[in-house]
Amino acid sequence: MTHETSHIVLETVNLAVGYRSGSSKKTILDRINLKLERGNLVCLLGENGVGKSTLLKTISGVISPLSGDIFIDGTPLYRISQKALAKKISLVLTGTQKPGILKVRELVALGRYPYTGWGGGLSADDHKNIDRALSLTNIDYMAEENVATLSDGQMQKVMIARALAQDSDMMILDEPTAFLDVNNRLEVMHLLKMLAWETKKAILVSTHDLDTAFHTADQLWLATCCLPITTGCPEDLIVQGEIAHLFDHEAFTFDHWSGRFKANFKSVKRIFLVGEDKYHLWTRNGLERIGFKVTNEEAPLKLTILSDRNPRRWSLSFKEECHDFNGIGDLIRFLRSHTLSD
Amino acid sequence: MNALQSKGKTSIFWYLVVVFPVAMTLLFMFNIYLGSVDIPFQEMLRILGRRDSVHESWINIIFEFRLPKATTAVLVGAGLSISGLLMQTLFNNPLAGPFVLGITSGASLGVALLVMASYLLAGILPVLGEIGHWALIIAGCLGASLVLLIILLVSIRVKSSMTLLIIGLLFGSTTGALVSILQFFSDKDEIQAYLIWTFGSLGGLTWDELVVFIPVVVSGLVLAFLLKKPLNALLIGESYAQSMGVNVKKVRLMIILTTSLLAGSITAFCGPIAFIGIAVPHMARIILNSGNHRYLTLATIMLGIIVMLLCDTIAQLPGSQYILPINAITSLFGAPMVLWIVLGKKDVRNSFA
Repeated sequence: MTHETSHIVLETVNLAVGYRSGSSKKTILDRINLKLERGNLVCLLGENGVGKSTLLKTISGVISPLSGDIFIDGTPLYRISQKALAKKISLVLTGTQKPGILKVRELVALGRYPYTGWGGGLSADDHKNIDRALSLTNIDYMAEENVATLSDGQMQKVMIARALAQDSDMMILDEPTAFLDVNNRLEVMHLLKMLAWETKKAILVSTHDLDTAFHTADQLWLATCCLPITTGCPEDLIVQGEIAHLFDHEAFTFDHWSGRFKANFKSVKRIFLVGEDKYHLWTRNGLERIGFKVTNEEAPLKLTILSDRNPRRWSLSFKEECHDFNGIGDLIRFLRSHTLSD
Repeated sequence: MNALQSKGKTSIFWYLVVVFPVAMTLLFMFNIYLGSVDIPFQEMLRILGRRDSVHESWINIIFEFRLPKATTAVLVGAGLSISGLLMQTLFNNPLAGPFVLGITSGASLGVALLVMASYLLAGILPVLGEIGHWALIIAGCLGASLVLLIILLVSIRVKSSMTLLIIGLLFGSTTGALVSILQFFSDKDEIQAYLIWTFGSLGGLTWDELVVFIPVVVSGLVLAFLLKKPLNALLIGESYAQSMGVNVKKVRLMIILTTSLLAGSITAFCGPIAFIGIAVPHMARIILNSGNHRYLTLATIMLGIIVMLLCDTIAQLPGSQYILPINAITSLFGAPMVLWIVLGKKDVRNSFA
C-alpha cells in the first residue's frame, strides 16, 4: 500500500473549481476526487466550456480552488512556494506567443529557469538536461534554428522539450494539439505517451479529441457538466458504456464497434450490403455517412461488391432496376440524387 | 551544427567586446572634438588627459561644455534604449517604447504648467525669463512621478499588461489635451519657451546637474541588468513565465519602476527625445540576430550610446555655428529606421520580441 501511494504525484480531495468575482463564486466543476500516478499519460476529456482549463489552472496553482484540497507529493498545494512548484509542475499551453529571434535551444533552456542563478547562466547539469530534452523530443536536429521559422507542430514539440528541461514530476498540457493537423496531433500524443513511460513523469493532457485519446491515453478523466469527473482506463469506460452515456448527444451516438461518434439520421433507409474486407468496411462507412443503415439481411435495396474482377465493381439492385458503379464515389452520388423509397 | 553554434556565439561576443566598445570610444572622442571652436585633436587629448593646454579657454570649453554634453548623450542613449527594450518585452509589442506608459506626457504637463501657467504664480515664482533649469527639471520630475505613481497603483490592480498599455496611451492623450488648453491661454513667449523644451537638448546640463543625473541613470541601468533573466522568461508569455517560477507581478512592477526612473529623469533633464527607445532595441536584435536578453541588454545599451552620440554629432552640424534640435534629428533617424524594419521583414511579429 505504501508502495502504491508513492506513485501518486497529485491528489485532489473534494475539490471545487471555478472563478471568484468580488464576493460571488461561480463553481464550474465540483466533487473532484482524482489521483495522478507517475509514468502515466492521462487525458482530460470534455466538451468546450466544461471547465478543463479551469481545473488545470487550479491544479497548477494559477488560480486558487473554491474549496477542497490539492496535494502535490502529499504536501498541500498552498504550502508550496511558486519557485518550488516550478520544479514539480511544468506547463504547455495551446498556443505560444512568438518569442522573437530565439534559437530552439535557447527557448528549451528557459525551462531551466527554476535552477539557474540571477543572470540565468547555465551549468553543465543544465546543459545535460537541455540536451536530454532535445533528444527525447527528437528535435536535436533543429536546435540551432530560429523558433520564428518553425511550424505550429514543431513549435509545440519545442514547448514540450522546454517543459521536459524543467525537470518536473508532472507535466500539464492544456489542449496542446488544438491547432494541429491530424498527423501532428497523433505525433505529439504518441510523443507524450513515450515520455510518460520512459521518464516516469505523470503527464496530464486536456483535449476534446476523443479518437486520439483512445489510442494513446493510459487513463481518461471524463469531465461533463454538473457531474463528478469519471475516471478509468479507456477500454473499461467504453465497455461499461460510460462514454456513450456521458457524451450522449441528439445528433451523434457513440458507436461501440468503431470507437467513433456517428451521425444520427432521422429517416433511416436500410440497405443490404454484400462484400468482403476493406471494401465492405469502407462502403459501409460511405453509406452510413449519407444516412443509410447497413444490414446483413435481405432488404429492398441490395448492394453487391463484385470481387470476381479487378478493379472491383459495385452493383446496386432495386426492384427491377440494376446499376453498376466503378467506385464508392459514383455510388454515393447516385444514391444522393435518387430518392429510392422502400 | 556545433560549428554553426560557435559561429553565432563568436560573432555576438565580437560585437559586445570589440565592435561596440571601440565605436563608442571613437564616437565619444569625435563628439568632444567637434564644436564651433576648433581645437586640434592632439590638444584635446592633452586637455582630457592632463587638464593642461596653451589656451585656458579651451580647457574650459572641453570640461564645462563638451564633456558634460557628451556624457549626457551617453546617459540618454543608454537609458532610453534600455527602457524601450524593457517595454517591448513586457508588452510583447514591437512598437512599445519608453514613453508608452505616458511618462513623457507627465513630464511635459509638469513643464507646461510651470512655463505657461507661471503667470498664475507670478508672485511666488520668478518671471518666465528667469525660470531656472532646475525649476524645469523639478517640474518635469514631478509630472513624470505623478504619472509613475498612478501607473504603479494601476499595475498592482490590473492583471493584463495590455490594459496598462491602453491606460498609458490614454494618459498621453489626456495630458496632450491639457497642454493644448494651457497653450491656448498662454502668450507667445511662454509658448515659445515650452516649444524650445520640446525640441530636446543634450547641452543644457552642467556638472551640478550631472551629479544628480548620473547616479539616477546608472541605477536604472543596474536594475535593467538584474531583470535580464525574467525578461527572457517573459518572451514566451506571462503564463509560461509564472509556471517557471517568475513572480510576474513583482517583475512587472520592477520593469515599470526602472523605465519610469530612466525615461522620467531623462525627459525631465533633457526634454522629450523620440524614437531612440523604439528603434535601438530592434537594431540590436538585427545586428546580433538574437532576442536573448543575456546579450541583448548589454548590446542595446551600447548601441543606444553609439546612436545617440551619432545623432548629437549630426545635430551639431560640423563646421557650422548652429545646433539643430536633437529631438528632430532622432526622429529623422528613427522613423525611417522603424519603417525599414517594418517593411523589410515579411512578418514583423516574428522578428520582434
